[in-house]
Amino acid sequence: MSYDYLFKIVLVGDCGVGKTQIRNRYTLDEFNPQSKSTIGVEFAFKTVNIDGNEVKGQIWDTSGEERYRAITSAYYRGSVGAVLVYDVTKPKTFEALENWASQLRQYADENIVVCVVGNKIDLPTREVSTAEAERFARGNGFFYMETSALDGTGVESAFRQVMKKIFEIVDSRQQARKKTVRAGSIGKTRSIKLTDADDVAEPSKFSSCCKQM
Amino acid sequence: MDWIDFRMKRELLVWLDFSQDTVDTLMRCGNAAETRSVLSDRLHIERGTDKAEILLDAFQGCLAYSKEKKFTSDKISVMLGILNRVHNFACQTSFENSKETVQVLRDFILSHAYLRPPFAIEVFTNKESQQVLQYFMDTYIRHFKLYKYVFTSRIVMDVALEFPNEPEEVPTPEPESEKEPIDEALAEAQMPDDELEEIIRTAVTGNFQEMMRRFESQIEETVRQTRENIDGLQNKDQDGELQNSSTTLQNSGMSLNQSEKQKNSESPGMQEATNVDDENEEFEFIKKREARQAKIEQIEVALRVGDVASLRNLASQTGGLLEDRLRRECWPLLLSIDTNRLPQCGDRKKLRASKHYEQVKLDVDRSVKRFPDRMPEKQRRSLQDQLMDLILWVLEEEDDLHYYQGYHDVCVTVLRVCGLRLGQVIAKELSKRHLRDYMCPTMDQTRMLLDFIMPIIKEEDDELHDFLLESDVGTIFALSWVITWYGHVLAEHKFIVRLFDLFLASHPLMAVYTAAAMVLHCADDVLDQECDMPAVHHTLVNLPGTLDLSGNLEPIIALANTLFKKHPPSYLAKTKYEAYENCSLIKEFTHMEPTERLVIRRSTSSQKFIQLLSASLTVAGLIAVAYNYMNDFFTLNLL
Repeated sequence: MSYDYLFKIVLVGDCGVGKTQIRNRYTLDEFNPQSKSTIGVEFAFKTVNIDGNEVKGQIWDTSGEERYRAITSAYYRGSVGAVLVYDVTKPKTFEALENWASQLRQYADENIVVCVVGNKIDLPTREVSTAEAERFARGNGFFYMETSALDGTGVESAFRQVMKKIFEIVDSRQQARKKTVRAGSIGKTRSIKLTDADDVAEPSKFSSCCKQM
Repeated sequence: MDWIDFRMKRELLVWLDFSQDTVDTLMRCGNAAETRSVLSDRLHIERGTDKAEILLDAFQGCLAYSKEKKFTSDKISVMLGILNRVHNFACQTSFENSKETVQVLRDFILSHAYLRPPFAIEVFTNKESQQVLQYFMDTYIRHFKLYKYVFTSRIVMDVALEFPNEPEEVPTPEPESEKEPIDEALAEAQMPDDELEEIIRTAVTGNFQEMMRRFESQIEETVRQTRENIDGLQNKDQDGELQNSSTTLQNSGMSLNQSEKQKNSESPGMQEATNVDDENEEFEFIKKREARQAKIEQIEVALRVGDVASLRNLASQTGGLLEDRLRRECWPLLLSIDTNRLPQCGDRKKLRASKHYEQVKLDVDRSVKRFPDRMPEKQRRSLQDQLMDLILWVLEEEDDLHYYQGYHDVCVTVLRVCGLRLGQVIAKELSKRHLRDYMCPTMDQTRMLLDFIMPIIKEEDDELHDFLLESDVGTIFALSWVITWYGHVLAEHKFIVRLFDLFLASHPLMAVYTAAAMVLHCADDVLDQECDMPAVHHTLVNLPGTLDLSGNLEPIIALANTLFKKHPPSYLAKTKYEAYENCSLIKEFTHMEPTERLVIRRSTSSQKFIQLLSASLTVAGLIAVAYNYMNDFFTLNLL
């Protein structure tokens, strides 16, 4: 399938917050009550249309257990979006977000678009309030969404928001230097970073985050 | 035997074991404690032990029943007497005697059910006799095995078979018996040494003869079949017809090459060949079933004599250990576990206070898929509870082993095959050997071992190795395969346990060799991908689940075994990949490596071509000969 852009997005968060369920809800539109723990890294694709452009999301789903972090963080490299998941019924998973955010800053693209997602809002035993989570997200320059992978609430729009934000950044940069870069050369793949537009002009700094066909 | 004689000595029990005084005292007792003390005095047993209390429970129950039935003193005396005699009879031997015991019980009741002095006396009416029989069947006989378990000593038999070289000498089994110290005095009193020896000798020689008989008949059968096959082939050859001989040729070619066979059978002119082929398949199937039965017997023999070396071989060769029933016995042996001294299960409450509890619970809760679909939810939940106990027990016992997500996938397999009590010891032992590098505080060691896949692949397939290297995919794709022993990625239990057989019998790195074998097996699919990390990672990570195994893993396992023999870990480490030289897993387990490296020349496509060419030349030659022969025939006829 052809696409105009390819965005690499990582799903991170503590064990058991529902990362794999969110991924499955988004890419396959299904929820499997018999899910397994994720060991290592897996990923899935989904292509969406943003402003008339075919954008392919490459969703990287990682293990949440602490000891896997050395392995999974290597996969953050080159990602332009991140979905930071916590479980609204478990404050501990919310407190861990700080840690996850610093991991992302350390290993991922510095202008990465991050969406904090409070999952499992279908459960009655909620313990982390929306206001609290929004405060955290705003303080870090992220945006905040609430989802339920079980009934599908918010999942689609969370990813859409992330992709849209990334697209806006990429697009505005392209507009700015339309004349200097060979944009849109058909049949060739080109990688760009989300940092300064000047980076893009230098092929040696390309990373494999987004491609344009 | 002693118990047969005992049946003859039928006695009348009125006032015999329990005198009128004793029964009267018992009837006067106001509470249970008093009753028990009177009973223990009468039976001469020392209070305070579990055994004494269990026996007193039985007598007290019997007394209560008699009172409820409003039996008179003489009947009560007989009731207690019967219980006493039956119990003594049942527990005089450690061997199975339930049938005889029931017979003794019947005899006693019968001799108190009708009037025929001096052989019988009518204590019970007809109806009462029936009720009494029913009572004993429902109590003592129903719990017969439990009573035997408590009151008889356990006998452990060690049998060693020796076959001296001299053909004249008959192999004599050396029975050796070892008794547990508990209740030794009692056991000795009731079972003299020479009698025990006699029993063991008869049992062992009987079994041995039976085994030999079966073995011999099997050999005969195989010889007969082979002879028939040879005859069949000869007959066909004697016909000397061109078509027939070419059919045979094709046929033998086909059994060598599955895909060629399919192609041939599709073409309509080969009807006959297909028929022969069907027969062949059926023959193959029967042979398989027989081979399986033969292998089961081999495993059982190896188990009986404790031949670990043979078990290792049987576990890694075709089919593995075949059945979970056999695995339960073989796995402990492969890990040198003494099944007679299994520790008790841990205390659930205490285990759940462990620091690992939360992480383990998260993973165990998400292990539903690892249980059969048709298993009732209640049963599954109870197994999941046991799984928690098992994992937490091992982590409690072995402080320096660190839990990882995926460890539960290994443990669930062990639990399903071995149950909790044996399973926890097996999990502990295999964690201390095979899994210990995955259970270090960090995953550095795990990553290093996974990277070992690459040297193996390089030795076999340069193109694939370079492709993987160029794609920058790394070896993390195999993480979930290796550290879960494929429990996480293979859907079917039978495949997973088959691999467990292999891994338990092999070097700890065998799981890594198996990963390399899987990648090599699917080299074409991998090379078809775009040389790009995500694409290759995606193909590889799901590889075991998507393998077309047509019902068995054997090709992969055979390949893994060959890879191991061709490129043993210490050879690779020493000669080519020094980074691994200090790897403790490689250094410590050299005794599990082959003494000599297997050398196989790579079969190249040109070799295959030559084989094909020579085969077709043979066929052409045959046709030429037949043509000549027919020519001569016609010429002669014409003349």
